[in-house]
Parts: sequence; C-alpha cells; structure tokens
Amino acid sequence: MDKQLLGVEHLSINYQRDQESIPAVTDVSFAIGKEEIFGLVGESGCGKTSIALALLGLLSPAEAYVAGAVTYAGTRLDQIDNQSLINLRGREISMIFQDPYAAWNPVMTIGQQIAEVFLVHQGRAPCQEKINSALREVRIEDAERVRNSYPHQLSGGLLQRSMIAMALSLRPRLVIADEPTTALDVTLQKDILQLLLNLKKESGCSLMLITHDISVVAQTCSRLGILYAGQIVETGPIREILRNPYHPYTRALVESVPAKYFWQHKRLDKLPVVPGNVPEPGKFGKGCRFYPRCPERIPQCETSVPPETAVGQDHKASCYAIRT
Amino acid sequence: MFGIYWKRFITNRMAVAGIAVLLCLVALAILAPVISRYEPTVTNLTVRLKSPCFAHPLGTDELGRDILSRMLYGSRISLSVGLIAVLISIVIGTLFGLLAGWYGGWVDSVIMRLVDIVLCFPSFFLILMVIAFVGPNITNIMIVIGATSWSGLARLVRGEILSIREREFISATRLLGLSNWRIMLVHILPNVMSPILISATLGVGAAILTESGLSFLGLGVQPPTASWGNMITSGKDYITFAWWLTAFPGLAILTAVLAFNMLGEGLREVFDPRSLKQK
Repeated sequence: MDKQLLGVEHLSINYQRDQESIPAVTDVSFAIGKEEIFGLVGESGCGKTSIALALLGLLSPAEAYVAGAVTYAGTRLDQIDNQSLINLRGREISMIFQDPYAAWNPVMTIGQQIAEVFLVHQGRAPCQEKINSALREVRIEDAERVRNSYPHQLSGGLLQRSMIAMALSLRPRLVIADEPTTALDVTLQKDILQLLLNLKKESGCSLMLITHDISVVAQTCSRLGILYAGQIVETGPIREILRNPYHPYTRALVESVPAKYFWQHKRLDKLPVVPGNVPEPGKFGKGCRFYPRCPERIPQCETSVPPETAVGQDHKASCYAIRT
Repeated sequence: MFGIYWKRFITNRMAVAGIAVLLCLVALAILAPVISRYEPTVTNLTVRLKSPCFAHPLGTDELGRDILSRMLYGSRISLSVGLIAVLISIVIGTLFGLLAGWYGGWVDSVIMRLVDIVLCFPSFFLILMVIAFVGPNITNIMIVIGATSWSGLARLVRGEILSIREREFISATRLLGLSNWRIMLVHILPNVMSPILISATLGVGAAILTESGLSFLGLGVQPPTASWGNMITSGKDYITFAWWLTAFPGLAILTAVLAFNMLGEGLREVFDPRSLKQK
C-alpha cells in the first residue's frame, strides 16, 4: 500500500434507541492510501453508510455512540473540535450520495448549490464561469442550462454528474462515494463509474467506494474490505481477494457474480446464493456473525469471534476455517 | 433568478387579481387625504343618516360624517394592523418553529409546550383580556394580535422542518461543511417558504378580522378615529333603516381579506419550484 491517507482503527458504532444499544458496526479497521481506490463491499444494512457518516463525525452523539480512532493525514478526526471538522468537510473529504434525486435541495438551482461549497470554504461566491467549468469537468456539455436548472428538471444521470462536480469542486483529497451508481439505470452506471475513475486519476485524490455490487469494485478498486453484519471479514488487494477468497462469505459473494458463473459453467440456469439473511443488528451471536449461514462452520465459530489472520501479502481474513 | 418568479407571478391570474386589489386598497389608504372631500371626524348634524347621493357617494352616518372619507382613513388602520401584526407573528412563529424542529430534544419540548399553552387559550379572549389591561390603542393591538397568533405557524414550521431535516440533501449540506445556521437559513427556510407565505396571507385577513372584532366590541381603535370595525359597531343600531353604515365597511373587510387570500394562494403556486414547467 502507498502512503496512508485515512486510517480507521477499531471503529464501533452503536445506535441508541429506547434505552437499547444496537451495534451497527463492531471493531472495524481499515486504511486508505494516497491516490488509492478502496472498496467497501457489503449487503444492505451491514453498516456501510454508518461508517461513512462516522468518519466525518456526522452521527450525533444523541443517536449513536461511536468509539475508535479515525486518523486523516495525521490528524485524529475523532478528537478535533467541531469547527475544524466543519472546515474539513467538503474541502478535504467530500461525499457522493447514493440517490441523486434526494441529495439536491429542491428549491435551489444546481448552480446555487455548487456555489455554496465555494462560498462556505473560500468565503466568497464563485463567478458563474467557475461553476460552468466545474460542470464541464464532469463532461456536461450543456453546463449553462444545468447550472440554471432546478433538480427536478434534470435527469438522474445529469444530477449524479453534477453531484460529482460539486464533490470534486474544491479538489478534496478523499472522496467517499456511497453507492454512486445504485440509483441509476444500468447503461448509466458504467458511464458514471468511468467518469469517477477518470476524475480520480486527474485530480489525484483517494476514493472510497461503498457498494453492494462486487462486480463494480472488481472493475475499479485496488484494495477491498468485505463487510458483513458490521464487521470486516476480509481485506486485501482486489486481485488477491478475487483469486483467493479466504472467508466463506467472500467466496460466496465472488461466486454469485453472474458473469463469473457463466464463464465457468457456460450456462446461467441457477446462480449460487448465500442461504439465509443477514442477522438483524442486536441479534448477533457470541461468535462469528456469519456462523448461522456458513457452509464451513466448526463448533468453535459459535462461541468465539475468529481473530484477523494474515493470509497473504497485505491480505487478512477473520475465519477459523481458513484453507491453507 | 427573479426573472423566473416575476414571469410566473405575472401569468398567475389569482395572484395578479389579489395584488391588484391590494395595491388599489393601499393606494386609496395612502391617498386618503387627497381623495376624501370631508374630514373623517368632523360632524355635520344637518346631513345625518343621508343615503348615498352625489355629495356623499356612500352616505353619511348618525353624526353626519361622510362614510367614504371614514372608510378611506379606516383602511389605513385596518391594513397596517393586519400587516404589522402578521409580521410580528411570522417572525416569532418561524423562529420558534425553526429552533424546535432543527434542534429537537429539550428545545423542542420547551417551545412546543409553550405553543400548547398559547393554543389553550381562546386567542380572541386572550387578546380581549390583555387589551383590557394594557389599554386599547393601535400599537398595543398590533403587538397583542401578533404575539398571540404565532403558535399555529410555529407548529406548521416545526412539522415541515422535521420532515425536511431527514431528507438526504440536508445530510449533503452537512457533508459539504455548512454550519447549522447556514443550513437552517439558506437551505431549510426556503423549503418552508410556501406554508409560511400561505399562513401569512391568511393571517393578514384574520388579523384584519380580529381588529374589526375588537373595534366592534369597543376594545379596538377608539372613536372618533375610524376603523372598519368600529364603523360597523356604530352603524349596527341603524341597520334596519340605514344599511349603508354597515354594508360598506363590511364589504371593505370582505374585499381586503379575500384579496389577501387570493394573493396567498397565488404566491404559493409561484414560489413552488415543483410547479415549474420543464423548459
């Protein structure tokens, strides 16, 4: 891995609801290097978005208890004061949201909202040409019209492009993309992903790509973290993980990609699936959280959490049944 | 930016009709000394209770005062009471609603209990009581009407904000590093503008009615100063044979309230970006 930009160590998030503490994320550690693309993969509800919000200190103490250390470029984000954190958001670390329709303020034009970022972080409103060029950077031909449009007048693809333009407008060093292509139709997904990659290359930022689609990360990421029920079960370089998945969950994920299945079996009659569902937060057992669904479980798995074990170059997995 | 709104405003028939009537009313109120041929408070017993005629287009009252002149001067009172009272109530109501909705927790509880307390009292009697203590003059009336009519608006704004603050674009603004106040004033407030506007324009009508009611009960604007409300009061004893004493001020109240409501409804359509046609 290159030089580290963001380090997350032993991050735990517990949502407080009615005197009850619900663990959403437990003891998650990962690191993102400079100019690296890190993919965070997991099913719905496994805590992907919670992690992203916690990194930026956006979970209010009233609703969530966050523990652990987040280090960004040598600064502990969990220890600096609120104002410094506010200054950091948008300028150093910014985020692209899942649903472009919901992430824009319906009563302001795209241009006004992009202008907000400049206004807040640079203290003055940018000229219109600056916004136009930010929009052109994301390959929007008709920047003038898009700038003057309200969100409901634009298509999902244009909105997501504009969102990327806004997120990248101040040249942040880390961009968190929270399922940036999920809400778009399939033909657009590839375009947006490609755009994101090109821009990442041009601006030299790091990218944290949150997704549930392992085929998306296969095309893009250099390193990967597999999240299951709020815990990272496997991390490592993408090639390593796709070639030698160690954790049974990772293996199941990799095998359930239709293209890969088709390649191996020359037919697409039935895809392998992971039986069962992700356990609800708060209803985890004492041991490995994948235990109830695991095809290779051993009695030990039920009673104690498997420790993280190095299985290769920069490749770690948490499982007792690691095949060597 | 304003071009879009202006174009939509000017093509909205209801808003234009409302504002046209209101501008006429305001112009008449401002030009009252120029238009009226008689002093509104000077009595002339030789022409008392005259029905509408050329010299007195709307007739005269029991003391021989010209109804038209009194109504022109009365419109100054009624309109300014309506507008200023609503301004006061909007400032209080929006601020409280914003704080309660955005911060939640104990701030919300305290403000909402306060709203409950204010709503508990029948507001008209509360106003009557307060006016009885502080004395009936026009400033007091404006303040008291304004200070008792914000509670509904506070509730409305709070409710809107509770739903808006959970929307994703608010998280987006926080992620971009905007401060609480900036989010509240620049991003949330415009989203609750239409309910505030509707509530405000309806409120002006209601405030004019309240002022008329107070004047009718003798606790509003004091004679001999004319207001639409107290003109109706003094005319009610003669209603069986001199209908013009009550009918014209009543018509004026109706017109003003109706015009404000039409304007409010029109403005709602104008300011709602969702009603923007695709370009």
